[in-house]
Amino acid sequence: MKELLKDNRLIAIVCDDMGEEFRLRYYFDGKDHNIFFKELRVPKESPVVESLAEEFPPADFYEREIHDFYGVEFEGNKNLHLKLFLPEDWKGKPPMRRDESA
Amino acid sequence: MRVHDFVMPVGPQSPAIKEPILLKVCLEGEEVQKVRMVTGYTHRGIEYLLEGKNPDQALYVASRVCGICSITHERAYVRTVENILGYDAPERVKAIRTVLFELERMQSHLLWAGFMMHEIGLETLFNYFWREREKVLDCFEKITGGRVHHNINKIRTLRYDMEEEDPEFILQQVRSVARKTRDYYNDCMKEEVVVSRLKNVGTIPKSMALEWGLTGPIARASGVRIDTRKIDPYDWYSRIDFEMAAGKRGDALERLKVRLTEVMESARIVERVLSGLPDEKIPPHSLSRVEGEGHARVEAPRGELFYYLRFKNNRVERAKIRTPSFSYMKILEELLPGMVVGDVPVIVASLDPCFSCLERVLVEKNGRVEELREKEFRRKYSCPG
Repeated sequence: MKELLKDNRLIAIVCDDMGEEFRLRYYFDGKDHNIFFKELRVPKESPVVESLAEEFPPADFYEREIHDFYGVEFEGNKNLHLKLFLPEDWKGKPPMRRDESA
Repeated sequence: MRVHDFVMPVGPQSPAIKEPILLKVCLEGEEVQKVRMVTGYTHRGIEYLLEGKNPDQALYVASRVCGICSITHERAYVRTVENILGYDAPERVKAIRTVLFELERMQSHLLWAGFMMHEIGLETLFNYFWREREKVLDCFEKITGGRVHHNINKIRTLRYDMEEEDPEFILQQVRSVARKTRDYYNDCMKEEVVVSRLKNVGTIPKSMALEWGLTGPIARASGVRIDTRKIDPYDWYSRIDFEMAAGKRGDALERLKVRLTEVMESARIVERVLSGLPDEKIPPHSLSRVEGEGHARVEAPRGELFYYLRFKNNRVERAKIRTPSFSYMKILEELLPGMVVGDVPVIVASLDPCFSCLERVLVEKNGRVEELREKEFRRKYSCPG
């Protein structure tokens, strides 16, 4: 994914709960401005993904949002412990998960 | 007495800042050292609200994401659904959508310009800009019946067609707005207060704009030529020739220039579209059946707006909205350090350092944080008052 960031602009990260796993879609704006995506699937038990916040600063917010709502861990993002949209004292499970824990 | 590093909370409710956002501004004297943004005060869970709605219901939720760019969100939603359906709207529908889209850009930029003037203390110009904005809102009222939320876009079509006398009225209003905006633009560039408060403030160099992947007027003010209307055209943008506003320095003054230029350019686009408005009937509205997933983007007044939608059994299963502000809000944490407190409101545009906010401060010394009430702070650091 980091390779792709060199020539393309990251538009958004779309996370989705597919039952057993999370599907993360990275949408990019290509060189000749075509939209394309790369898909990443991570198991729900240990959802760990590499962070892009170092290479592309706005990704920090994208990742924190997904961390808030789905509980995906982004390795290398230092701000992950700060809640972006949820209250700071939020104790519950990530609310957008589609299972009983949500 | 020298006040050591202290964190001044500004917002989320404060007489000086209108947006519900909390900025923890660390100060050393007058100089900003560090800023941390705390968001989430208006999080309404729109993406979750959209889930389970049918395509026609979800449209109304989407249009209520924002109160300033309601049409933009409608359009982005409709574009996504039409992409999934593989549908190409009739020319008249496309033309009217283009007109509405540009009117929205005009009112949004004028609102912003007025606000900017208010922040630097020019209340007269604030009123002038907002008076022009009223004319655009009148156009909206004439076409859609609404001034803030319009609900005019429908999947495949529009809710109402334009009346026969509408184009004449819109042209008249839009021409008047463009003329006045040009006058105010010239006034602003000559006015010493505007220039000295905005020039070289909050500068984003081109390299930084590219690194941050900025879009919209902010990127264009820094000299990055990017506009979704050009790179991924929809409606009549591929048919109509228009200029992309461009700046160089990337400071607040350049952003004012770019936005006002865009107001005038939008007026020209509206004129051109209305002069070639096709005379045909728009298709009647019918309920849609949508399956599958798709994405689309449009050029919102603030930059690129991205939508992702997935439908299952004719219901929204997952929606993702990436608004332009979400992608560049974080840049504030980079821009503010090093500036004096007086420049903070200009950079944030809606932020004013108000010392009545000093109800509670956090004192940070040698990495230790102590939380004090105002009285304790005064006693400990012997502030007079």
